[in-house]
Amino acid sequence: MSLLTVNQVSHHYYSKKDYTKALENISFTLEKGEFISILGPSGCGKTTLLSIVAGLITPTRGEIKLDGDSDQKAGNKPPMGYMLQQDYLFPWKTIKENVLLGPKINKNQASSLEQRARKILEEVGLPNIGDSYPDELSGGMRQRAALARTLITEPKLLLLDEPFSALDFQTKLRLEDFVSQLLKQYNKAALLVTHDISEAIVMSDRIILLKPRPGEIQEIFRMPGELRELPPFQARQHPSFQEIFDQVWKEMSALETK
Amino acid sequence: MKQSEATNKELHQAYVKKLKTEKRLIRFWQASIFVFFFSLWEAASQFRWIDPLLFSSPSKIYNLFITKVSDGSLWIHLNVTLFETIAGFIIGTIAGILLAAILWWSNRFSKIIDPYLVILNAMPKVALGPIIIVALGPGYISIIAMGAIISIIITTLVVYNAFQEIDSNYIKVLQSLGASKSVCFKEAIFPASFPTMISSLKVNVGLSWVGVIVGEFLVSKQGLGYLIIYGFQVFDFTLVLFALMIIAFFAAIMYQLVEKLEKKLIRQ
Repeated sequence: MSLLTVNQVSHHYYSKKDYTKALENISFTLEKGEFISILGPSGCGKTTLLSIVAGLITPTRGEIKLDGDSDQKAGNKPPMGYMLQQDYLFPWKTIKENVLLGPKINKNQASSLEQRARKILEEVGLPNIGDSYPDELSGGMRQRAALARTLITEPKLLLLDEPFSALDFQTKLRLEDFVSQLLKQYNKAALLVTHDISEAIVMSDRIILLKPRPGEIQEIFRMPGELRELPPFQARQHPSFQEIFDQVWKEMSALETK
Repeated sequence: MKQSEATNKELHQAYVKKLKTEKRLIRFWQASIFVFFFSLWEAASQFRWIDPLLFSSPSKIYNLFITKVSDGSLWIHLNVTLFETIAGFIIGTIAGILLAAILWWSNRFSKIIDPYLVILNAMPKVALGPIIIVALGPGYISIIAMGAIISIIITTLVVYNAFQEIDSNYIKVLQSLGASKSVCFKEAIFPASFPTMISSLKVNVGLSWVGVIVGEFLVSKQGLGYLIIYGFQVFDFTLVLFALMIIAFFAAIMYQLVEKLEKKLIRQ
């Protein structure tokens, strides 16, 4: 059974006069440990789709199944971690308090949590800053702290809503490598929303290309094995990268001129 | 190398000195205005440029101050008014924030209640004075109610506005971690609106004084507002001006205290 099944999901946004189809008949599955990118021009409903998968929006039609069994509403421990464009660390909490937010919300008060927080912060490359406040950290560090906050809840699936787009280019490349390696290490699945073709190619196993208004699946690209093996930074230099890039680029430009 | 080090230090010292001179200059002018104003007042009164019966004089007010301190009656009036103002201020602020939280909790309720809030906000609250006194009796409870009612609605509106302005992505983060509405309020909405609440405290200090003094005009037998209205009735304007100065002094102190609290509570 797949980790995540998205079954014929459609979503409409209503206004007084009219309604807009944001998503139309989206179906796909995500396997354990798989990385899928949802790629598309702005306004194709990428973020809406992610919010639906996260259970923050109820879709107009269709259903989301996690791990084959119950609807995601049932679980009190969230099986998913959500990362946004910006870190959204709470500025009045220390980094440690921010990281421990998930367990706190879920009333998990195990004494080992402090240690886990420290260990996770170390893993994301932020040792000894638990007592700092977010505004003392750089953009890349803050995004890592946000990642730590997501990881401490042990999500089976990470939802990434353009988490690298607000960073400077160097930091972005470094963080891509880091996240990709971390996900492989823990064998976690991820769903990334992006409009950056090269980012989608180097991070993913599959790319779902969405067509805008209404958001429909245009095409699904499967990344060649040799690219999937490589960390993102090296994948960008691999000969087959350019080939795939051109292919996706052509499809995507065709959408925009339509 | 050592030479430049020395000059760097000198440059810095010059800068510090400049700051000090500037500060001294400002203090000097502030003091000058104070001295000039009271000297002019005293002189005008002494030489009968103004009617001393109506405008009194600083020396008369000072003498009255000494008398009132020595016979202890100042403390009675001061205590009463301070107690009423602080109580009104705290009740008004807390009730305003609670009401804002209720509005935030129920969108529908906030829509229903909206026109009433607009009317209540626009209405001059002191006009409610007689009704409040009839309802709560002619005592300090009425006066505290006046001090509170004058700041409730404006606090509600300002704080509710702050609640709504928080970036919805913070809520999204919390919800994705499984947070309920009350957890969202506790972890994000309330702390994010903290600066707004503190700044509404500053406004409310002034408003509570208005409410309490007007309340004392209407009913009281004690308090600084009572001294003003009593002085007016017996045509003792030294007493009126004396009470006015005490009020100005303590209102300023309360404002400063709230400002200190603000600095302490808002870390960054």
